[in-house]
Amino acid sequence: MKTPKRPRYSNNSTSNPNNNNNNNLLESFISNTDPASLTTSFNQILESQPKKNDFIQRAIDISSALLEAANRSRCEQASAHNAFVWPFPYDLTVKVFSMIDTQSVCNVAATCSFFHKCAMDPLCYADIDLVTLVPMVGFQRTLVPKVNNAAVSAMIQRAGNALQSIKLGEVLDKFVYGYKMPQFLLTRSCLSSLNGNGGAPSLRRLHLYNIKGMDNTSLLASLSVCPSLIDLEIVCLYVDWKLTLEALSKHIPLIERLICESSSGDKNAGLRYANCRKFILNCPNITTLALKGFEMPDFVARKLVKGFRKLKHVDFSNTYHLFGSFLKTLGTNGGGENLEVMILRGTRHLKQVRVKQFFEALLAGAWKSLRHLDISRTEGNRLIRVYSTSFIPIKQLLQQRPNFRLLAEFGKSESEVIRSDGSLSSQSGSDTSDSSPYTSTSDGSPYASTSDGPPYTSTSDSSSYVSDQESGSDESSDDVDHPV
Amino acid sequence: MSTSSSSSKKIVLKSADNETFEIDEIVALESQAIKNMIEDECADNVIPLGNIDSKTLSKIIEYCKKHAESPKKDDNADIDEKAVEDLKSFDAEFAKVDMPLIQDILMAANFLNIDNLIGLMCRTIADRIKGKTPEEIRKILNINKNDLLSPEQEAKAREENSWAFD
Repeated sequence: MKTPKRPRYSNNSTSNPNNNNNNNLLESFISNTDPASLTTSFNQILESQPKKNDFIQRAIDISSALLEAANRSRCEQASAHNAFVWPFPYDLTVKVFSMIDTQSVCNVAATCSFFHKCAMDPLCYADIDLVTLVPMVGFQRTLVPKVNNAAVSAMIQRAGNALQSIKLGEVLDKFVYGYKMPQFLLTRSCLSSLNGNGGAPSLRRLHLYNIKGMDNTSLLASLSVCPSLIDLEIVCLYVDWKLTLEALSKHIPLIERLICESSSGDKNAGLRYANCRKFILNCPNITTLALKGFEMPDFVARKLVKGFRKLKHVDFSNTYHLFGSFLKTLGTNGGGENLEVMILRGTRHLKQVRVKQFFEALLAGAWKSLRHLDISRTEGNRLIRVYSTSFIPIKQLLQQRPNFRLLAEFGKSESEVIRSDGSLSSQSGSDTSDSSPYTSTSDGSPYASTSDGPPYTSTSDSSSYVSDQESGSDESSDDVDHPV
Repeated sequence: MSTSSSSSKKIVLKSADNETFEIDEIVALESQAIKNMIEDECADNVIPLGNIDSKTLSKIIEYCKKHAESPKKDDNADIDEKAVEDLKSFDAEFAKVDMPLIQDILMAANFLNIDNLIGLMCRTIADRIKGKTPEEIRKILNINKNDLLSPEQEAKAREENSWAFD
């Protein structure tokens, strides 16, 4: 072969004399041929052809090539005409697309060519949300997320400097006790494209859920290039929390909202003051802090609440070794003055006597801004804590602060349950009320807590754990609740 | 707020189909474009809006009236929460119209430069195409069949975003 093989009807080079000839021929053919008489003409010419079959084949080839070319051109013309059907200019179209979620943007991109062009604009990817909500049936996931590293990288690259927030991972639609997340398509390098091109200077929110492949090195590398981050959620990642907190104090001084939830059975999820000291010192803007599922002694809890002077929302749900003496110390020594919401759900070591002291401090005027307290149990937690209304001055508090919202299991007898509005009810109240303060007060995500359950226990549940037992055992260990 | 006093200055808007609307100046000022015209003193007694029909224009005036009457955010820090709620539900109700009218309103709002209304209409369109398939989006927005991507383009778009499709 001396010359490279070319397609028969190629029209790429107009300088070719052969091609010019072709163009002239085709032009006069299209302009002058009368479609009605085409069949007659074709039959007449065919008569005089020596190789009839070859001639017919060639006619078919040429006409189908012509049809294809014409169809394509019609598409291209139509996309110019698109502006008539969809009346809005590029900017306005992008504005619309910037208001829809990432998956919908991808659907829009496959709609028509003008939309495809608009849907590639960086502004459409300022808020990348690739979280998959997985419906669970028993222990089975009914849907396997399809988002992979390549998809994340593509979105991050499209966003460029417009990037504002990233939400990644997988969230189960309900809490399944003891369920272990399998590894899925996202791996440790899912955020690696953040590190290229000078990092992500504009990124303000980063939420990561259940990404089992994510490890310390890659998480810290990503955090180190996001200096503007103000909102970080890390839920059930297998990372070293000490290093993570260190990275926060080093790279992310502006952070205002931190949600950390350790996966169940995470051996590294113990917090010591030494880990938190720099974090408290260097990140003074924290207003929302959730550290869930950690081992956290009262001493550390007190330092955190006292250290972050702007703290409004605090959530120490499912923590171990939190007995509640930090509440007393804060009450007497000050700290947490700006607190509005405190969540201590499923803190299995929390003691009734400490809760009582807390309520007494509230009655005495401490924590003026506090309006929401959750000391209820969490679903799947077998320890059901029931507080006694005769021991804890709940009624007095609700009289003094009528708008105070309390979520807890109260009950003395089988029929007595206190609802958050303070009224006594004989019905079990597993109804009403959003139990997550994040969704209502800050613009938090619906994924904030993976272990949401009905805030009120039913009376039948609570009947087996009467308060006398509880308080009795509490009294005995009253003064030994401070292992640091 | 005292906007409806008879002494306040009136502005007359004329639609494409020659219908005239007399409104308080403060209502007209919701439109940045008209505001500029008035400030530059190039507005006559009657402002002709040759590309807005009367149906669209009356909707837009309804919107501007409501928004001119309610207290502005920067007026004072502690605005009535009720007023905010009221405006929100008005907006929600206002947006309950069919897609052609939404597009007409957005087009006109863009021309008149009414920022809040542009945002509201964009959000309304966004809400209606959220979570829909490409085919459904074409239907909702009345995208002409001729405007489809070429097979190569469509295949490419799907491949780029393969995770998003079933």
